[in-house]
Amino acid sequence: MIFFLAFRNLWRRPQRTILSLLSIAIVSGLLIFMLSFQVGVYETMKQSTLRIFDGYAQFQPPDYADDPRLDRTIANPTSIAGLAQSVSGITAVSPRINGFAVLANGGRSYAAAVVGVDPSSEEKISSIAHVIRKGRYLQASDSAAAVIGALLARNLGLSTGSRVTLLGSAKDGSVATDVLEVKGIYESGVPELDRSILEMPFARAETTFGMNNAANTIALGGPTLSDVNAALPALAAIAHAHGLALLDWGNLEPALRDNLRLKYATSMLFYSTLVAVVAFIVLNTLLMSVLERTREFGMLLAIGMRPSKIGQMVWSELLLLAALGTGLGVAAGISGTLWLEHVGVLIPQFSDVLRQFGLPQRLYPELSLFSGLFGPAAIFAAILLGGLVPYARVRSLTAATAMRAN
Amino acid sequence: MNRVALLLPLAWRNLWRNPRRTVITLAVVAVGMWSILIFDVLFAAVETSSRDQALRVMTGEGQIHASRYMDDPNVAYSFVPGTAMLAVLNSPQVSSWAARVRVPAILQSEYETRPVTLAGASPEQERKISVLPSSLAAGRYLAGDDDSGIVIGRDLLKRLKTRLGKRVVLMTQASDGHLAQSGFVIIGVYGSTTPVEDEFVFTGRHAAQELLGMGNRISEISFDANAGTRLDTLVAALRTAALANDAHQDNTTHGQPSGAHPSLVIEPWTQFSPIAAAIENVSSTYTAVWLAVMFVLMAIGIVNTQLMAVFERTREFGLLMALGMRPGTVILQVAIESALLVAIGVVLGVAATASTLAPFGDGIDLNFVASGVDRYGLGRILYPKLDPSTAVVPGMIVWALGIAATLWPARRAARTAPVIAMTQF
Amino acid sequence: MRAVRKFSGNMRDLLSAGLFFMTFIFGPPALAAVPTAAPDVETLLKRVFDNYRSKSSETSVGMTIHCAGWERHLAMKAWTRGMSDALVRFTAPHADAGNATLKLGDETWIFNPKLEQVIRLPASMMSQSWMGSDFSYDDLSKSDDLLTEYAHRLAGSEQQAGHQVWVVDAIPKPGSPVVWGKVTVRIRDDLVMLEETYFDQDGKPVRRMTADDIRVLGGRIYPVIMTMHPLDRPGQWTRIETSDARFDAGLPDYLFTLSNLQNPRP
Repeated sequence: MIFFLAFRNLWRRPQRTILSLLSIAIVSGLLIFMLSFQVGVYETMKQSTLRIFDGYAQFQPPDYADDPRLDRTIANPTSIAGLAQSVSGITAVSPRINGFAVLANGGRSYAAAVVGVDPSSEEKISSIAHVIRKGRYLQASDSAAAVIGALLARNLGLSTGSRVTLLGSAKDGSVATDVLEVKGIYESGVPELDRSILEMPFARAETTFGMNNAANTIALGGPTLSDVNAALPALAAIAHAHGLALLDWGNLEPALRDNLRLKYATSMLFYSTLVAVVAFIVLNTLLMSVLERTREFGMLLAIGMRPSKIGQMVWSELLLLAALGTGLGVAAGISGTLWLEHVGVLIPQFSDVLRQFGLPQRLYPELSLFSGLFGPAAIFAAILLGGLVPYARVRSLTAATAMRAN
Repeated sequence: MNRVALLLPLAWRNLWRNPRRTVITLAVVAVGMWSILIFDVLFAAVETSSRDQALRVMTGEGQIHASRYMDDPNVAYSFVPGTAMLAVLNSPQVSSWAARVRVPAILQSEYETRPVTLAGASPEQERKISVLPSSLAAGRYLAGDDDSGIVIGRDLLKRLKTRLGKRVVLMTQASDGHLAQSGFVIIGVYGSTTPVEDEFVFTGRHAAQELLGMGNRISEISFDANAGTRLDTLVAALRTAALANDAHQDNTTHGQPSGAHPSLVIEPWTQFSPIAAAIENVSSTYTAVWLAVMFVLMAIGIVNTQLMAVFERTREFGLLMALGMRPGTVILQVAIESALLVAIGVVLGVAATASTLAPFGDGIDLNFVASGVDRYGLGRILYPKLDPSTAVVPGMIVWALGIAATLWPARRAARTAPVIAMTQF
Repeated sequence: MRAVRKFSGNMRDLLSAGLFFMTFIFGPPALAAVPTAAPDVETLLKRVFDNYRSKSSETSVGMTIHCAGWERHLAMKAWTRGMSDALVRFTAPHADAGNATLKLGDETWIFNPKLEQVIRLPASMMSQSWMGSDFSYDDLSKSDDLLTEYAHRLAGSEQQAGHQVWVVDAIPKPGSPVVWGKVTVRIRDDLVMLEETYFDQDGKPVRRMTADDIRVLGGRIYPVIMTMHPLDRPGQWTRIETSDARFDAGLPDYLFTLSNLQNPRP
């Protein structure tokens, strides 16, 4: 009965109600989209950064992260890789050897990181394989082959087909030497990488660096970062069983993780302000309407309606308004976001840059339970909370004074 | 205008006849104004913070290097800025510039050895172009070009297992190819930035040049354009100046035929940080969208409130018109009332913004978000600044909106025949 | 010396004088007179280094690198000229044989027989471990640092197995490219360095080089076996055993050239 009255009351002043509903709906929908879009963009940022070289997670020997020495190894990398591959959510596993050597060509010599990789696994994890500017990436059949960064090639005066000499230390400290043919030159877009990494076939690196059936790290990949994050507990179990450390994306890129946390904090400032403002505006309207209807309430009191009932009625108006508004907002927000999830958002200036780095050019919002409901729920709660003010006002009315109000 | 003079005191008194209504309307206007200003100020603070992180640590808006330097940041690829170039750099087009030595080096403590980037800098120049000298976590910054103390990042300090006041050894390749080494005392520690920036180790420019045997050559110049100058114009001017100074360039090994093309490379930040440029573009759109949203919300609020306020008074207007006031005067009266009301509301909103921001004079600390995050890292603290001029335009718009929102209902009210107005409302 | 303290003043003086006298008489022959009173530290150190390095030397050296779990033995021949030039050529094990390192002043080159190439060691590699040992390439160039980059003072003296041992504290000079807070050396009266302990700048010992076997070699009293212990990694050490040494024999200059590095003349 109360609800029915409340509902009818709302529609006595349709423009006002519609305006309030619109504000709530627009802001709810907007919050849903904004949150989803923000999450989506950050996911893209994370994936783009991790896909360049790190992978979405890594197995490492304990303490390797602090002091990446060649003699810190993972034994039996193939069997561990097999175990990891069987975890659902993991579709790519790439053991790596991380050595360090002086590269020489003619009279020039530069120090570089030498990474031994299995081409077919590595392709699925690192974008280096996909940004080859000259020549080609490593192939399963390659032996004395190498792929180097564009800046490194320039500094050493190397081109595809040239030979490069490698002189470094093996796992046991003895001298590691090799001569490789440059099969391809890559340009990752990150100068530090282009200047300092040479990739060679895993099997060959194993011999050259005297690894004796061991790797330094195992990079893991999946269809998306969330898939791999969901697989982390199972991976942790494998790591624990073999005395290894498991590094998640935050460990692999701590600066990025910090940066994103800060960005979330800043946007929370904005979102809270938005929620507060919209709640305020809606309540303001409601308060004015309550004040306007003081005489009417007075009459109701006079004919016997209890103040608590009137209070409930006002509160129900509020509730209905909030519910309808957020309901509309949720519907519009979710459908809009889903559609954009499908279609993607194209921001011209951004897409050029993304293309340069070999990354997908459209940005996709990512709808989740949180992004879909948090905004509207916050608005709903804010309105209900603030609604205590008109509610209190109504409860304090007495028939006589109320009827005399203008 | 006689009418206005008559109506003004009337309007003022009318406002206070129904204090509740007036206060509520004031509140909406003030809050609306506050929200727009707060957003504006916060966005500006975030943008400044991002810019600082991107450009005001080591980069600057533009950079000058010898042409092979970007491939191989070697001591060999250094240069001496010629007179024409210095003239442009010292002109009003440039707000600040800094010349640096910048080469890869190795830093060694008793326990660890780490690769770093040695930056030989002039503190006077650095203070104007970089936020780093003022974000020290401990110790002090360089005192002069000859200061041979070093300032290193916090993370590097930890990884080297050393401390402020201890000596570390820097090894780097000197001009003549031999390995130069010297002991340096750590005189200052700067807060963490990104790991890429944390690798920088600062010492006085002359001290670095001496260690490397570079004479007066430098590795790079960073510069910021003055607010009134377009960056691309400045870059063009510098490129012309560079051409005029071919004779001074000093590329040693891997010598290039000079004169055919300038051996200096001058680039604006949009070219060497394309991602940051794209992000900045996107951000301004993002900001504009948010502000538009806030305006719409605020407009809805004000309109709603004003509508109600005016409709409520239909009876009163009816009475006035029955007493002989012309409909046009009624509308004018309403307009004056809302002009006053909204003006006060706007001023209140600005005052509210100022007082909300007052306790954050030292910046909004975002550290509550991340546990164990370094307090002194850039970007951890936002510095909101309320500039009076930013309030003017939104203020005018809100004022106009507030008045406009009352005109339609006022017209409606004034059109209603007095009899109906008095009895049915 | 508790026994000495028991005696009264006069007797004590007599006894210490006697001790002084006996050491002087029975000190090792065939060497320059060694002052057994507080010596001039700088001179003392210089002579220790001279003894060890001499104007030139040719030695056969075995290096054992011991880590928790495994051990590696390397054999090499080393030639030195003055304090700044050195050539090391590895002779065993087979995998490492033929590898050579040439240091001329500030620059270091490596030769590898498989590559048949001489490669100059870039600055960034200088702190890498030399052949997997506890020494870095950089350490090889710093062997006379103790003389040049430190200020020395005598911290005390001890008696050990009939020898007088001077304990010298070396404090780095300001601006020196030295990471250590202090190096303490124990020098025996016959100019052999018994022990070198490296302390960090807080006074904590970080590594220690000990002379474990001292004999006459090539006409000199020489620390034939030396071991370097990194004190923060117990169970890990590198040992250098010198056999077959010739000092001041006059080495041909062509030895210390890049072409010889690549193609050793017999």
